[in-house]
Amino acid sequence: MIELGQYCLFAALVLSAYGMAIGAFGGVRKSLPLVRSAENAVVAAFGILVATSVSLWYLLLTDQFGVQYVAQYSAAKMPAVYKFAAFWGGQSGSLLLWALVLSFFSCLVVVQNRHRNRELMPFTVSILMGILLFFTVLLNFLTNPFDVLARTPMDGQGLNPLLQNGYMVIHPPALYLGYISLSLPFAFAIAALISGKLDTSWIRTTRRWTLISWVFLTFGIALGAMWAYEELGWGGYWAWDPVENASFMPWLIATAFLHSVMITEKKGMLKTWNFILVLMAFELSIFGTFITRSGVISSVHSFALSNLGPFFVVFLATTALFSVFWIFYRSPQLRSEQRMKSFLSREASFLLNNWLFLSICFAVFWGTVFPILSEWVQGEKISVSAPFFNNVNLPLGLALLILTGVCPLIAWRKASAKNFRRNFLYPLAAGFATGLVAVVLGVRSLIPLVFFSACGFVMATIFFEFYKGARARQGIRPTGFLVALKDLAVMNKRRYGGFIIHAGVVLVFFGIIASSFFRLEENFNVRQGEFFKIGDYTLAFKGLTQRSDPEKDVVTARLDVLKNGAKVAEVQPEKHFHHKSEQPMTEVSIRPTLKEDLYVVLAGWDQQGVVSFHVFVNPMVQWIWIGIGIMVLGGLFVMFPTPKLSAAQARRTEEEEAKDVAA
Amino acid sequence: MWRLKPAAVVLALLLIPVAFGLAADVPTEKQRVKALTGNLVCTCGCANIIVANCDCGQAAEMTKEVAAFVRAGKADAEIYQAFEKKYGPAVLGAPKLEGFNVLAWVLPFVGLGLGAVIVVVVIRKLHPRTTQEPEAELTPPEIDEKYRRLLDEELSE
Repeated sequence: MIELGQYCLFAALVLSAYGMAIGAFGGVRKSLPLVRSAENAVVAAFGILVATSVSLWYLLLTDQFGVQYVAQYSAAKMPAVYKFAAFWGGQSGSLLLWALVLSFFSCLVVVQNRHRNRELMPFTVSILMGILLFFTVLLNFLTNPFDVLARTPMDGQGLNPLLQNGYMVIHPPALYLGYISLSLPFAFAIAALISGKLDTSWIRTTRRWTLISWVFLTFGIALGAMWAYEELGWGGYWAWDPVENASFMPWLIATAFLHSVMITEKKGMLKTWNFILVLMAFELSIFGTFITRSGVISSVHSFALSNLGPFFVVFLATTALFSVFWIFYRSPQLRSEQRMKSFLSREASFLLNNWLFLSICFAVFWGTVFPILSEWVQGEKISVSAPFFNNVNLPLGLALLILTGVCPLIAWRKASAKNFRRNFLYPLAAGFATGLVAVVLGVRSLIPLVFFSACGFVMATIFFEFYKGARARQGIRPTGFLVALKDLAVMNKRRYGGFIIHAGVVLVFFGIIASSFFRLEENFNVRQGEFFKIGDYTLAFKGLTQRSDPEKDVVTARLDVLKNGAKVAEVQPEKHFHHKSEQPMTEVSIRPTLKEDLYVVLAGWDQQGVVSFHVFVNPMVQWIWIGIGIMVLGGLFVMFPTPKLSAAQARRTEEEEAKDVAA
Repeated sequence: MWRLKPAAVVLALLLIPVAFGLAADVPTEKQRVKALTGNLVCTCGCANIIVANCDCGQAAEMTKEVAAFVRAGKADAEIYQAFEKKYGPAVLGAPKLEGFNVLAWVLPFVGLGLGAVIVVVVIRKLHPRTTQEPEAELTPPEIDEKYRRLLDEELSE
C-alpha cells in the first residue's frame, strides 16, 4: 500500500504536468484532440488521486506505524472515525486533501463543460492542472505522506486530543472545499483573459463557482467557530487567531466579488476590478492554506520546521504576476460599457460595499502579518491580537451593517430625494424602536445600542423589500400573500436570496454584539452539595465521578441548574486526561437557549474536596449559529435551480436576469 | 423643504438611545480587571490567547496581579506599563501607539482613506458631469423600476 500510494502520487504529478502543458498548447493551436487529451488527463489525475488517498486511508485505518504520517497523527486505540480524520490532521495529508479536492472539482468542470465554454476550457484546464502540479510537487518531494520511518514504533502518537471531536471530522474539509473552489473562478477568469473571450460567459461561470465557494467558506468558518466555542473552554467563539483570519480574508473578498460582479453583469462596468478580486480571493485561499499548515505566523519559531514557506511564496508571486500581466494585456478590452448616472446610484453603493469589504480584509491582513513585520524591522516580538482587531473592525463592521440596509434601498442608476425619503422612513423608525426596546430592557452602553438600532433598521429594510414586492405582485396577479411572497422570491432568486443572506448577517451581528458586550463570567470554588449563583441561574454541585476508557481518564462534575427555584437542566462539565497528552482537556457543558447559553467549565479540584468552576452566561450566542445557518440557506437558495421551471424557462429567466438593464 | 421633517424627527429620535448609551456607569473594580485582562496576552505559550480567555495557571496568576494593581488604585496606563516591564512588549494584546507600532493602527485607516479616494475617482470617471438628466425622467412618480419590471414580465407571459 505504501508503494501504491507513492507511485500514484508521482503519476498524479506527471498527469498534472501533462494536462497543464497540453491544455495550453491545444488552446493556442486550437486543436480539439489535444484539448480533449488534456481533459482526459484531468479525469485520470482525479482517479489516481483517489487511489492515492485510499492508500493513505488504508494505512491509517490499519495502523501501519511504519509510515511516519500514520505514526505522527494516529494511534492504535483511537476510534476509527478519528483515524479517518487523521488524514487531514497534519501538513502532508491536508495538502493531499487539497490535491484530491482540486482534482475532483477540475474533473467536474471538465464533465460539465464538454460542450460549453469551449474557448475557455483549454486554458481553464491548463491553469487548474498548473495549480495541481504545484501541490503534487510539494507532496512528492517536500512533504510526502508516504515517507517511511527507519524503525517502526509500537504505537503512533495520536491526533491532538483537542482535535478529537466531531468538528475535526467536518470542519477542515468544509473549509478546504471553500478554499479550493476559489481556484475555479480564478482558472475561468484567467482563461477568459488569455483566450480574449471576455463576454459575460466567464462571469456567469465564475460567479457560480464563487457562490459555491462562499457557501463552503461560510459553513467552514462557522464550524470552526463552533469548535472553538465548545472545545477550547474560554467562552468565546472567535479569537482573531491567524488561522481564523486566514479563513476570514478569502471570505471577505469572495463576498465583495459576489456584489461587484452584479454591476459587471448588469452594467458592464468594473471588469478589471472583478478580475482583481478573483485573483485576490485565489491568492488569499493559497495564503490561508499556507499559514494554516505551516504555522509561520502563530509561532515564528516553527518556520524552520516547515520547509514549504519559500515554495508558497514563489507560487503566490508567480500566479500573481502572471495574472496581473494578462489583466494589463487585455485592459483595452475591459473598458466600461456604460456610464454611471449618479453618486447616489446602486452602482455607487456597490462600490462603497466593496470599499468596506476590502478595508476590513486589509485591516485583518495587516494585523495578521504585523508581528512578523515588527520582528523583522525592529527585532521586537509584539502581539497583535483580539483587542487590536476588535477596535479596528468595530467601526468598519458598523458601517458595513448600515450599508447592508442602505444599499438595497438605492435604485439602480439614480435615486431621487423623494423615493429616498419614502424608502428610509419606516426602517429608520424601526431602528429607533429597536434602540428604545434595548434601553427599556436595560442596555445602557453606547456601542451595543448603536449596533442594535442598526440591526433593527436593516431588518426592517429587508422586511419591507419582501413586503412591498409581494404586495406589488398581488396587484398583478391576485393570490394569497404567502404565495405572492414565494413567487416573488423564486422569480428573482438572486435578489431575494441575497436579502435572506442579509437577514442572516443581521442576526450574526446581533449575536456577536450581545454576546461580547453582555457576557457574565465568574469563578466559583464549592464543595459537594453547595449552591452558587450567576445571572438568573442557581447551580447546585452534586459531586464528582470518575471513569476510564482505553484512551483517557475522565472526571465528570454533575450540577443541577435551577431557575426561579425550579430545576431546569443538568450540566456535566468534564476534564479529560488523555494518556498520550500531558495537558488535561476541558470538556465544556453548555445549556443553550435562545436568550443565553449557560457555559460551565470544570476548572479543577483540590485534596480537600473544593472544586472550582468557571461559569459564563453568554447572551444570544445561538443567534450567531442561526444567522449563519440562514446565510448558508440563502446561498443555497440562490444556487439551486428552481424545480418548477423547465430548462428552457430557466434559461430564459437567466437571460433576462443577465440583461436586466432597468429601464 | 418641510417634507424633510418626518425624516428629521426620526433622526432626532434615534439620538435618544444614544443619549442613554452615553450615560453609562463608572466601571466597578471587577469590570476593570476584566477589561484589563482582555488587553493582555497570556505568556503561557499558547499562541496569542488573551489573559481573560486563557484557562491556564499562568493566566490566573496574571489576573491576580492585575486585580492587585486595581485594588491599589493604579491607572490603566500604569498597569500596562508595569506588565510590559515585567513580561516584555509581547504581553500587550495590541501594539502601542508609538514608534514603528503606530503603523499597525494607522495603516488600516490609511487603507480605508485610500480606498475612499479610489472609489470617488472611479465614480467621477464613470460619471460624466455633462449628461445631467432631469430627475423626473428617471423616476416615475408612483411605481419604481422594480415593480414596473415585474409588471412587464407578467404582461409578457
